[in-house]
Amino acid sequence: MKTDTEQHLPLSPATLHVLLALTGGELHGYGIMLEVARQSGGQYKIGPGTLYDNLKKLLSAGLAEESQPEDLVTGARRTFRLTTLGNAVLAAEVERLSGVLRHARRSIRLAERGL
Amino acid sequence: MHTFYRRLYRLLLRLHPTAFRNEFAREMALDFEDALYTYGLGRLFIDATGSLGRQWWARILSGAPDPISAPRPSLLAGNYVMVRDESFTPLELGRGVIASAAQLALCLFALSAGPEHVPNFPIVYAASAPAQTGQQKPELLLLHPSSPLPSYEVATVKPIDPDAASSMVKLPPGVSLSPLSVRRYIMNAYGAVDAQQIVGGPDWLNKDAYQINGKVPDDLGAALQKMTREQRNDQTRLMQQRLLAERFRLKAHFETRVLPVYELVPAKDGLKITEVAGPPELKPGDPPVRVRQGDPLSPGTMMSTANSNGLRVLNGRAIKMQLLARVIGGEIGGRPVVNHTGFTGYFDINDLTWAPSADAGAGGEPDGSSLASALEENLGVRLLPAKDPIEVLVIDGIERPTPN
Repeated sequence: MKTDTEQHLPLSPATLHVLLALTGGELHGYGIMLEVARQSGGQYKIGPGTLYDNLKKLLSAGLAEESQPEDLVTGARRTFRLTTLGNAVLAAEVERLSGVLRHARRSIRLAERGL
Repeated sequence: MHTFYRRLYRLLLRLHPTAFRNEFAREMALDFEDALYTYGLGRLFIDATGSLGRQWWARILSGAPDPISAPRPSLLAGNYVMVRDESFTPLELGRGVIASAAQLALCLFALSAGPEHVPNFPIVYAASAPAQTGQQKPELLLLHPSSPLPSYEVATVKPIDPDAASSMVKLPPGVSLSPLSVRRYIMNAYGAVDAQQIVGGPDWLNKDAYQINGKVPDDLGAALQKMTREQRNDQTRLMQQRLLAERFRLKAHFETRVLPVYELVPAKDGLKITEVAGPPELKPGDPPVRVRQGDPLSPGTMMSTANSNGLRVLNGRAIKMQLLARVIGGEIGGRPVVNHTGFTGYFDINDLTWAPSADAGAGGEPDGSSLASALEENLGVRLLPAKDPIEVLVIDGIERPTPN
């Protein structure tokens, strides 16, 4: 029986990066795009299409929520933030990836030694 | 040209399923505007096309009726009646696919035929101020951070008496800016030539003054010695950006906004100075340029001073028009000066003299008529009030630092 967090794993790279970007606080769409690029050293960039595909899934799964609705009068942008569940899923994914990395490093070391 | 691509992008957004479009299209259009100059058109259109396919695929797989098309009142039937949308029938699905294919073919045809063949699609989504950026590339580009940002080994941030700062930087009427203010530091860190390029933020950004010192790590210091002056300046700015992010919790994003500027353009009588040889190429390890009053100017440098009569005197040796525009902008204050002369060579400026105006930068005209006249009579260039797209940094959040 999978827990609430496990049923969302593994995360796609884009979903992982979007969740990671939101750990820093509330951001609007373009802020998320910039944060994803910054966190990956500019090697991974997502466009608005990929971003809102993922945000739609995250909102419906309750991993992220809208913290400020758009305001057409003031021009304020919609902002999004991580939920408690989203935080837990991200932590579980990072733990899962850590295990994969540990295994990968061990395998590479063994391969280099010719074992 | 970008108006054409904006319309094309909005058309792609309109082709998305209604529910997704109603929920996210406006934000996507705004993000497209923000990313237009940094992500590249190709990447953005591929991304939107991918999203279009994914959303329709998800919509077809789910088979659920569009939630936005749930039973709703409609005024289109002539009477106020309820209409109910059901799931797609195979016939409707086929018609939808044909219609979408026809629209995409129209887009591709229009793209290949050029912007003049594109029908004037109505603008559907509310556009924010940055969306109205005209069709030119932004001017006065800022230094964007590149990860990983270099860091000072140790940095001290000490608040000091704002009155200790002697001269104030000129801003639009009623506003002054301490040279040791955080806004000034942000300007330097991001390579802004005008205070208007840093948008938003609390009042204390202009008023509070800080003495900020950083020690460069030894390994980075050794690496800096092997860089050219420009590379060293950029590295220093990136360290300042990191300091702002860590100590001031600065959060900001780039936008392009149409701002009032002065364009430096050729005068009617033509250029009155002749091109000279360019300065020697910058080499790694060149020492920093120190410009002192009375010393002969090094090639590629300018100096603005006040003479004993209170007149301003500007000299430059083997400088480009971009640098002249930047220095004039600093003299005028209030709005930046952008180079639209089209002259790409190097020029000497010898004793360009003018009387500074008391209300410099406060009115709609350039700094006294005397600077404008001096530029036109001596150099053959003039200042033209205009509005141009300028890259700006919008502050989303910043906190006072903990002094150390």
